[in-house]
Amino acid sequence: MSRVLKPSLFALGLALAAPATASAHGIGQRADLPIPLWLVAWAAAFVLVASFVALSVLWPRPVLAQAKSRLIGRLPLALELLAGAAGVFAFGVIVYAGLAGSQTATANIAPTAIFVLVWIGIPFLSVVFGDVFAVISPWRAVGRGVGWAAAKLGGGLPAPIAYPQRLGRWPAALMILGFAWIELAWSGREEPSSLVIVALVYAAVMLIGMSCFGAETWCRNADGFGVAFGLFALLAPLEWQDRRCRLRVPLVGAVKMEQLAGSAAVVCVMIGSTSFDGFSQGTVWTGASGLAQRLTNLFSSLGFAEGAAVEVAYSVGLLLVVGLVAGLYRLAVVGMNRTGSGKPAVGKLARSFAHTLIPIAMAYVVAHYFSLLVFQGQGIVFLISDPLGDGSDIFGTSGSGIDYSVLSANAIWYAQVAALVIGHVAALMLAHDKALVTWESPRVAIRSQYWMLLVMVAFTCLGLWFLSAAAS
Amino acid sequence: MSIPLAHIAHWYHVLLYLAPILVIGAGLWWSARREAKRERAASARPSVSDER
Repeated sequence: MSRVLKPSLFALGLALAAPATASAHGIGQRADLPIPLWLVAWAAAFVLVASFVALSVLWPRPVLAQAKSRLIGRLPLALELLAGAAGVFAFGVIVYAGLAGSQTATANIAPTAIFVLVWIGIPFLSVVFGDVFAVISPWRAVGRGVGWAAAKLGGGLPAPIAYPQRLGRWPAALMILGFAWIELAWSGREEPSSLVIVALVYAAVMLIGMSCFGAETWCRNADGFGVAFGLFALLAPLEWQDRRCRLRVPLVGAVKMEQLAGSAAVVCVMIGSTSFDGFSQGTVWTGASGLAQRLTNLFSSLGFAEGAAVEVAYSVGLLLVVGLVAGLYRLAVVGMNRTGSGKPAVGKLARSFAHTLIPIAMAYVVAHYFSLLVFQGQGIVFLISDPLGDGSDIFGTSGSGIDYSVLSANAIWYAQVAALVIGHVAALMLAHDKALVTWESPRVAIRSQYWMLLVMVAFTCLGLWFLSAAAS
Repeated sequence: MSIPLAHIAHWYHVLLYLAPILVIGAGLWWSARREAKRERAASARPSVSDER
């Protein structure tokens, strides 16, 4: 035993005593951190273990499913219509700007609006105010408008085709993966016209899908943006249903997530794509002999053109990281299944625990994109005055710039770490409560969560390592 | 194939992120094994009614 223990302790002591080479690669270069990031990973792991023990002792019965909500108001129909019209108008402006405006990505409003305001801004709004995208979604507004007009003018539309239940949310997962590929791997993303053509194709697919399967059914299952933002909205303290607004305890909405096929895939793609975005900015990926270069060389040697080889390398990286996240979740589910004597089945467990990943997905969004939203989001102030990048000054704000002093590097770092820790503790709470519902014996329920705890610790350490890689 | 120890500074920090996972994994495995052993012992022990 001591043959193993002594060298291990020596190695650990050496690592702890070593000057912070790790911090040279970590976020420490940008922020004046009190401790290196790997030590934060240890502290975060300790917080998760302590939370797990506290939950086991202090939370003996499931409570989240019974949590009450309170009606606090009603959204006027006119406001809903106005929001839908605003969504359609904004989509039109973005498409027009992309096609007719400057093809410099930073001068045109389209890339900033799509990648920053919509993709990052709406999750932040959703987690506070609820499902805002459902109200402003341009395709949903058009689909519902067409349905309403058809009902008024010609006796309604033909009955929609029944949506195949086994498809579940898999189409949404594929849509999000496609969007992540555009954002992270596609070379055409820098060109606003190419970007908005893809947006138009997406809108066309949405409209066709809605006309076949019905607006609500299609948006709930196959609209990647609608599904993703809707999942984040489940964490919000506000719940919207039929224009009625109810106040609830934050997080409890996640318990009500529909257990559809592909729900776990949606969240795994969201976590995996965000993780790859962080990882692909670090030297492990981008360095002179980094993974990207090696993969590009490999695909070049297989006969791919230079640009295509880079795209394929990034696509492989994206798929590998999404696969890693999905694999970790699968590991937790299989572990739970084995601890629970094979019941419920793995597939059912994967669906019923998928909601526990939503806080992690949000934590990853905050950790990776918080600073981008704060800084690049300011760009909208001058872009809204000059959306085409042709020198116009519609609102008199085209001369404004980005104020990088609005947040210090340390403040960003604290927000990132806090988001990761809070997100994972929230995920543990959801999983613990669900386990108490799933297994009759609290003892079995707690033991089943050993696997979930381990995977949460893995996600936390992975997230912090990706942050460190992004900053290196 | 030799271990790239000359470049250890470039990758050893990965081990520092991996270590909490391994430590907690080992702890949970040990805890689960101990619980299983205790449950087996409890089920093997004859109950009061059996002794009568």
